[in-house]
Amino acid sequence: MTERDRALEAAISRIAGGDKSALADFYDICAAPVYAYSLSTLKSRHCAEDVLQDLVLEVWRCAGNYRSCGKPMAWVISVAKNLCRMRIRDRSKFSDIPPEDLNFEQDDGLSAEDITVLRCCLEKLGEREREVVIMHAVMGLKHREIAAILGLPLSTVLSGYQRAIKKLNRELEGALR
Amino acid sequence: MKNREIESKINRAFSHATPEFSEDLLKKCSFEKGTVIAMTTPKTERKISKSVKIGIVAVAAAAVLTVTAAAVGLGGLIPEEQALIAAKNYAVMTENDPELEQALGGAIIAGRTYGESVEQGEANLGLKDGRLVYHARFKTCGYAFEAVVDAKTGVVYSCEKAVDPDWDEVKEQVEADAAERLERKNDKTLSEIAQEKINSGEFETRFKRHFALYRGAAIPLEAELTKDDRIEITVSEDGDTVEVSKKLEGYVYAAEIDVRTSEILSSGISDDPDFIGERVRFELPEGALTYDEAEELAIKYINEKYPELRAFSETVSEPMAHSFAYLGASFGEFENGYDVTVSYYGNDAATGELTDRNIDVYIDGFSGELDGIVGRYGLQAAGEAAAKACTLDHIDDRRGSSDENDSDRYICRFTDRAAGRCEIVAIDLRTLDILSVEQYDISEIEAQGEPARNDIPSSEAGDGMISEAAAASIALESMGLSQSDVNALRVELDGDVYEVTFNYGWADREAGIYQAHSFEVDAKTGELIDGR
Repeated sequence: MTERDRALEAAISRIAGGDKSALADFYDICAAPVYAYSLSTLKSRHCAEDVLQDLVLEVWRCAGNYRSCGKPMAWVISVAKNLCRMRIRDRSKFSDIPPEDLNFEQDDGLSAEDITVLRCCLEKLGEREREVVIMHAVMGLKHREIAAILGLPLSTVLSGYQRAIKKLNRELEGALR
Repeated sequence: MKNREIESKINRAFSHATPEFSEDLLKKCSFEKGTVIAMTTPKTERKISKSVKIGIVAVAAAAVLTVTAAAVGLGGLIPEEQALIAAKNYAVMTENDPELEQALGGAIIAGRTYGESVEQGEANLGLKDGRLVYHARFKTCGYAFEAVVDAKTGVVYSCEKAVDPDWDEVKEQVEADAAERLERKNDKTLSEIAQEKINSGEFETRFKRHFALYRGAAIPLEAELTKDDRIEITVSEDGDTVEVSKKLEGYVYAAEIDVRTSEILSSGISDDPDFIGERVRFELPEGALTYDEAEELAIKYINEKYPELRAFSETVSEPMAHSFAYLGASFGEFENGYDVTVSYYGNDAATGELTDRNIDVYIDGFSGELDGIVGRYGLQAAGEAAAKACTLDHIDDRRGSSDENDSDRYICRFTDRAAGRCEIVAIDLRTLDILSVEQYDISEIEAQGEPARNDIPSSEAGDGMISEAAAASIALESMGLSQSDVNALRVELDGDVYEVTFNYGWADREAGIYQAHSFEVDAKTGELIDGR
C-alpha cells in the first residue's frame, strides 16, 4: 500500500469515527482525483464541483461501510462513479451542456500550460482514453486496478493508455512549442 | 516529452483546476450520520445501517399488512415472495422523489425488475434486533433497494436505497419493457382473442401452410400435420403471441404467431433431440438453386462486399487460401432461401497459427439474389483482415502485435523491429473503413523514454532500492521466463512498489490478443508482493 493510500485509509477510518477534522485530510488527498474524474466524465465544471461536494458528504455519511482491502482510492472512485452516473441520468444529453462551461481562464489560478493540458485531455482524448489517463496520472491507480474498476482486460487498459499518452504528447508538443 | 513528464503535467493541471471549498463542506457535515448503502460493498457483506425506522409509516404498514395478511399463518412466517412484495410496495409509497415514485409505479407495479438475481428480487431470512426478518433486495429505476421486513407480520421496518451502478446499461430496455407490459396489461381482450383462434384452429392452419411450403413436395406434410394430437400451442406470458410447434421426422417445426393479426412473426426448424434414427433429407422444390450454385454465389457476394477477405485468403501461407460452403438443412427457412456459411481458414501469415473466419450469406433460393451478409464474426474478421492487409506489404515480423476490439473499432498494432517501425491501424467494424493508420518510428518512441518492447529503462536504483531491471527479473523468474520470452515489458515505480507488466501467451489466439501479466515487487526488499 502506498503512503497516500495509507493516509487516505486513516482519514476514512477517522471519518467513520465521527472525526470531522479528518474530512480536511480526506479532501486534500481526494479532491483533485475526484474532480478530475468527474470533469472528464461529465465535461462540466459545475457538475464536477457538485459531484466533489456530494462525494465528501456521502463519505461523511457512509465511511463506516468502507471495508479495508488496501484500495481506498478505488473505493472513493467507485462512489464518485455512482455520483457521476446519477448526474448523467439527471440530464438528458451531454450536448445540453453549454460549451462555455469548459472554458478555463488564467484568472482561475491556472497557468497557460495548465489550460492547454486540460483542453487536450478533455477535447482530444476519447472517453475511454481520458478515463484511463486520469485514473493513472491523477488518481495514481495502477493499470491493473483501473482494469478491475472498468471491467476491462489489462492489455486493453495498457494499450489504451499508451495510445492516449502518445496522442497527448503530439498535441502538447504542438501547443506548447 | 517522457511519459512521466506528461503525467506530471496532467496531474498538476487538474490539481490547479480543483476548486477549494473544504471549509464549506465541513459546515455541511454537521448533520447526523445517515443511512447509505455502500454500493461498492459486495451484496453478501452489505448491511442495513444503523437506524431501523421501526413502524415509521403507518399507512405503509397497513397496506403491507393488507397485502400479506392472506399469507400469514398462525405463528408461521410469510413466504419470501410476500416479503418482497411488501418491500416493493413500501418503496412505492414512501419514496419522496416524484420522478422515482412515478417510475417505480411503472416498473415495479408492472411486476418485474431487472438484473442478475433481482429479476424477481430476493429475500433472505435473518435476525435483526432479536426479530426474525427478511432482508429484501431489489433494483429498479437506477436504484438498489434493501428493506428489512418482519418475517411474521410483513411490517417493513426500513427501506433504504442506493444508486445502482448497472442502471445505465439496462435503462432503455427496462423502461421500454415496462411501458409495453403496462400497455398489454390494459388490453384485456388479448387472451380472449388467442383462445378463440385456438378453438377455431386458425393458428394451426397458418402453421400447416407455412411449413408445407418449407418442405415442398418432399413429404406430405399437410397430411402429417392434420394429426392434431401432435401439435402444441402455447400462449406467451404476455398473451400477445402464441408458439405453435410440431415434431416430425426428426425435426421440430415451430412458429411464433401474432395473436391479433395471426401473422407468423418467426419460424424455424431444429433437430428433435428425442428422435432416434436417420433424419429425412429435404428435397429441393422445382426451380430452386442447387447447393453448389448457392455456394458459388455466396463466395461471389463475399468477394464483392469484403475484398479485404480475399486479400486475407490470398496472403495466407501454405496450404491455404481455401474456402468452403456449409449449407444449413433449412432451405426455405428464410422465405425459401439459403443460409450459406462460408469459412475461410488457413495459416495466418501474421501468427503462423491455423485460424478460421466465418460469414453468413443469405440468398434467395430461386432468384439467387443476395438477401444479406451478416454475422459479427464475419465483420470482425473482415476488419482484422483489412488491418492486416493494409500493412502486409511492408511488415514481416508481427510477433509484437496486439489486436483488440474497442467498441465499434478494431485496432491492430504491428511492430516490425527489423524495419524499426510500429503501426497502429483502426478499422470501423460496421463499414470496414480504415479510420486511421498511425506510424511510429521505434527509435523515436524509445528516445521518448517509452519502452516499445522489453526495453527496461536503465535508471539508477534509488537509495536502498533494487533497480527496475532487477524488479523485472524477479517478476519474470516467478513464471520461469526471461526477457526474450515476453513482449511489451514495462516497469513503473509507484511509491515503494514496482509494477511490472508484460505480455506472454495468448488470451485469445483467434483474435491475436496476448495475455497481459502484472506483478508487484517490493522496491526495497525485492519481494514479490502480488501477481496475476
